[in-house]
Amino acid sequence: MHVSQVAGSILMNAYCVASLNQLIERARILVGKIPRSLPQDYDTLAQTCRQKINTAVAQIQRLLEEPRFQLEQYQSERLRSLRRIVAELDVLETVAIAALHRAHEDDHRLNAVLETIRQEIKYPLVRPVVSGLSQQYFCIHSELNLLCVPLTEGQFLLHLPDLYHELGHPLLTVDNDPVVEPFQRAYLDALTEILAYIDSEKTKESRRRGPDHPRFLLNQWESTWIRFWLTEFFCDLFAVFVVGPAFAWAHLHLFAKRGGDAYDFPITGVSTHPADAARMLALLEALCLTGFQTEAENIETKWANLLQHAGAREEPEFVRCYPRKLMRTVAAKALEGVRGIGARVAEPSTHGVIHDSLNRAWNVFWTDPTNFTSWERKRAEEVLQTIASARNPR
Amino acid sequence: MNEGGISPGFYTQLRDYAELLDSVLIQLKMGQGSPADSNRQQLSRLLTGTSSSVHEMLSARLFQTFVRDACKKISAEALGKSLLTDHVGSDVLNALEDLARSFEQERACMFRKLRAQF
Repeated sequence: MHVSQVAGSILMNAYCVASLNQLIERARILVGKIPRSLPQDYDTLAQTCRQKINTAVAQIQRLLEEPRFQLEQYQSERLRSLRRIVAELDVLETVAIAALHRAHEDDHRLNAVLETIRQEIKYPLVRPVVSGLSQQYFCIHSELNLLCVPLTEGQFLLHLPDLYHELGHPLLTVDNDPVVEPFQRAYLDALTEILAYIDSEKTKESRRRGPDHPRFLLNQWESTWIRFWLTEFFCDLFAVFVVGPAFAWAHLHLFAKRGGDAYDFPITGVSTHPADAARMLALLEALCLTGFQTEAENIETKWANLLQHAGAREEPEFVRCYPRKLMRTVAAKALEGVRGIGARVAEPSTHGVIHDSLNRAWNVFWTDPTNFTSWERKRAEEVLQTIASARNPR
Repeated sequence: MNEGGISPGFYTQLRDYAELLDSVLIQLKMGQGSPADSNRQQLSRLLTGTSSSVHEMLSARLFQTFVRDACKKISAEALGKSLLTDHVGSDVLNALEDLARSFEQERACMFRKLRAQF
């Protein structure tokens, strides 16, 4: 081995020994921060945190003690591994343990709401723990089974349908579970249809022998469909199939408040989420598949009006990126998947405490906008009381 | 995530791929293990897209989009097949090194974005 390599290896070792020992200390402190007196709803998250921290400590010890990690030729792998462990502890500290450490009465109520949702829709997995610590919007950490929502969202009804979207994510990431495989298989089938469509568009482009840009775009779309978009579509569709029109209304509401270009599609880079107009297209198709044609027409009318005021304009490339026929196929595949896992598919005759409240909220929102806020406050309180008394009968 | 941003699940998959690649690399560099080792088998299946499990088929589709972008010298299928042979050449080892570095960069980049969302 060259002298400089030996020196480099010694330096890297010194760095790793100090740094890795400090990480063990950090991990131990994190375990100490896990509160011991939270309601049972948080047990699964506390246990996951412990397991993950213990796994991280075991990995750190390997990096410290295994003789091969003293050798120059393994220093790249050692450094990469160290970085991944740091990232893991970062997530545990800033998301999971923070959620446990700051769990509040509002979080306890949201956990009760989510448990009721789980029962109403016959969700086939363990209910995630909910925390009101999200800095952004609704977000699920499937690996931690932790769902984060913005601090005040539990006080309102209009965006709560987004909880159902987040419940869709673990259905696609869980492994070796035959109960949820129909949903994953439906996803694969939909992906196959999408890739076949993109391939056919590529073939058309190669026959044209025109500029390179359309081919570049198709390649970008292919990667983005696989990496991000289909997952988001499937979670949207799971949500709309199990909660009904309230989810499509929530999408309209989110776009109205925070949306950008509804017809956006990536021209150079990738975008993690599909265009809002494409998502609405899929949701409307889904509603028509489950008997909500009238509601779909109502939502479509208001959506079109909103797009007009937002100055949104559909480009031909948008239609190529998200053709209606393909959206219909994706919606139909997702419905097969939702039915396949035995989840309750919402129909006009469906009832449930949360289901009724979320859908009714939108009726009141449109029919009595002046009094909606006071109605919502009262209804949200009634729902929480109903759930609380069902959980703790006297 | 219902709004723009990186999904934590997507990051987790990237991290798992990066870990799998490193564990196979270490084994190969040490001259230990065999084509029957579970990590080598799993990496091979991801590269060649020949899994019988639905979940792994989904994972392979995603994995291959990264391999296609990162590995220009040798095809994913050729790499995957080489892992099932007794003798893995230095060209395959170098390609796996490149891939491991590329996955780690992508993971770190995604993590920075994800962390900004916390």
